[in-house]
Amino acid sequence: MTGQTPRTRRAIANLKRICDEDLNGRYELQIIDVLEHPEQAETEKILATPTLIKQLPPPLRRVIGDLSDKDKVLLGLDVWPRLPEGERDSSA
Amino acid sequence: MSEKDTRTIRPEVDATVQVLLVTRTGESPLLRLRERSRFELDLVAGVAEAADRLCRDPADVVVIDGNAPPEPAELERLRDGLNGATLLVLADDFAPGFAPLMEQLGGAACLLPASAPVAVQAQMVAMAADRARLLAGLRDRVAELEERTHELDRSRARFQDVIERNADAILVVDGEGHIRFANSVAAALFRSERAALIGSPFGFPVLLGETTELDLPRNGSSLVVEMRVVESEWEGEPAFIASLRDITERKRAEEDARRLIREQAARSAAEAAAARFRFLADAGTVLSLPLDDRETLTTLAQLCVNDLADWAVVYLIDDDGLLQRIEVAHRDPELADVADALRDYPLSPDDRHPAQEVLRTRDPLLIPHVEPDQLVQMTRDARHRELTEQLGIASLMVVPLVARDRGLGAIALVSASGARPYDADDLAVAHDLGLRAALAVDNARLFREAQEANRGKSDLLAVISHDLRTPLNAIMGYSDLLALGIPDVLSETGRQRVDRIRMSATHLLYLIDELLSFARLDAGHEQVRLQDVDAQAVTRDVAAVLEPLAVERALALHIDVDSPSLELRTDPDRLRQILLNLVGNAIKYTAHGSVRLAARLVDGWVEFRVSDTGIGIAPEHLEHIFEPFWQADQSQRAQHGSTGLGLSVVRRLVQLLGGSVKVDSELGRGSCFIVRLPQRTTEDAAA
Repeated sequence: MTGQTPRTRRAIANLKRICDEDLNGRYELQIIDVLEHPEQAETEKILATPTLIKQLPPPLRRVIGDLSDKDKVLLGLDVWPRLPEGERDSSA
Repeated sequence: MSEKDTRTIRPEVDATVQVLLVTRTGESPLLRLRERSRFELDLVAGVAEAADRLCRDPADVVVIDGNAPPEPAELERLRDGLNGATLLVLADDFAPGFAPLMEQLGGAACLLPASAPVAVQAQMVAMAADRARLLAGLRDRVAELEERTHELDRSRARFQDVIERNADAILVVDGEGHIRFANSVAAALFRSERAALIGSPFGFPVLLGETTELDLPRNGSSLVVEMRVVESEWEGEPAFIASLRDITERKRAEEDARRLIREQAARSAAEAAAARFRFLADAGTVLSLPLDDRETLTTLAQLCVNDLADWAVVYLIDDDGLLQRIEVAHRDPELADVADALRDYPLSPDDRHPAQEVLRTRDPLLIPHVEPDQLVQMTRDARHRELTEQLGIASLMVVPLVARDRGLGAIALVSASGARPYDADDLAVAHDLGLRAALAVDNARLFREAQEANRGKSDLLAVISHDLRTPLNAIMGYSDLLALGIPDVLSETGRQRVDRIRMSATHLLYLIDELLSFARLDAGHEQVRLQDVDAQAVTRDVAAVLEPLAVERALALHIDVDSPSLELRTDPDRLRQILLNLVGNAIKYTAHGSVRLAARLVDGWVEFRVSDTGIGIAPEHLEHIFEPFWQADQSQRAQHGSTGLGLSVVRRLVQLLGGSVKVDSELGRGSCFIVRLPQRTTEDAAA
């Protein structure tokens, strides 16, 4: 993210929702502010934010935007949440 | 563009073969070909003509006589004008003159054996024609393809232009999130080379709706960019076309505009609040003026109409306890008649009129938007409703008039147009106004009652004074006669007793005067008659009256006037009353020693000092002694026989004369009363 902007806040809120609802606590999240750590922007080749990078499990995937479309985010990250037994549809 | 580029070029097998035959003589073995329907023969006399003819009518095959080689120049012209036709030289062998031409023509020319059978000749001519045709076809095809390529190039150039001239940065992002294309605006936006961007990771774009916003980090701060994404294709694979627009300025302008609106709203709210306070302040000022009932109500109604309402109604409870419409004021003078008509319209006690309700509950009522059915409920009949509608009723507030816990009536405030519906803040102002107004109305009423009571009191006082004096005068009259020895001379004891009667009667008269003075002063009816008064004369008069009393109590009485010509403009009777009171008190409360009356001029004030060597006054009593009916202890009252009104009368009188009185005292040492009166007064201050 790039500092505290409305976009940052929206993205973090959406991300929290996804983590809570779909990942069931099985995740590790690192939030990097490229204003505070410009070298990270260079290393990771961040052109714009909010950018979400899924490092593990491979493959490495990157998603950019406001993260509000949960299904698209998961699709872009190549993450398939396991549906609990008996539940049919997890999409909002 | 969807046609396949590879297309087999096949000669048309059954097409007619066009042959241009050059024969000087008009004779030729090839004329036999005419027998076959495939061949169409055209004859020309020479090579030059053949060249000309080819310009107008292209042929598939040109046949020249091998035995008569043309001039080199003609041959060149022919060569240049072949237009794809195949050249056949009819001979069994190439004559020498043909050699160079044949070299140049290569596969475009061939020997047609003159002695070959016609079938063979026909076959060879047909083959030559096929070649020509194939060539022509190929040429056309090539031209077509070239045209298409140019068209494609132009088209690409146009699109490129569109993409480049686009003000937005455009990226093509593949399914893995990598950039496959970037326009120059994008390169500028990301401060990178286009080549560097290609292949860079961007991300799988995720947005809800048509656009989303991104932050671009830029030296310690960031740009805001709006991104729009459409799904598309790139080189046969699914891809995204993202266009990005720098909206940092727009966002800043939006925030500025929002802030401006917030500031303006705050300013408006503050101004509205200030206006309300101003209104209340004005109202407070107007209502605190002394007015009678009627005036107060008119003023009140007008007050409301100026700022707060288009028209207002004041309701009051009359003597029978019924609510009446007392005053109706409308902003528009042309509606004054309607206002009057409404005022005079009867209001019965069982009406469900808002004023009745409000008075009963003592709670204010606010109707921001008056609905038609509400109007029907509020009015008692069609005429009432009509009058109300004529005056206009869009928004309504009714507040109670309650003062000193008594319900007096109500005020209704009406906004005639819907443009400015009343809100909670307006109601607060109206409620406050109602409370002040109620107080003002109640005060006006009390004032009137007090005035009437005062009138009553004065009349009573006059009667009492007369009724009390008459017998007293009789007592004093008869005692005088007895003292004079009328009808009989009295014995010594008798005389003493008569003297005591006289003294008591005099004292009683004095007390009555004091009481009357106080009462009159209290009622505020006293007038002051100003004269030029000689201080010395007044003090001498006072001394003369009280000298005997002082002598009787073995006290020295000193008179001390500063200068012989000390004059002041005041009421001499009142001044005498004041000094008599103070000096008399001094004498009464001093057991032994002296009493002193002094007068002097200090800064335009004449100061009278009455000092004694009496018992003094305790400090905690000092502030009370000028109060009516107050005495340090009851025993004193009994002893001195006074009403306790003396000093309060003194204070009132002093105030009446525009002056002041105070006391200094010390227990056991004595007291000193100081009266200051202005030497010169203005006429109206003494009124």
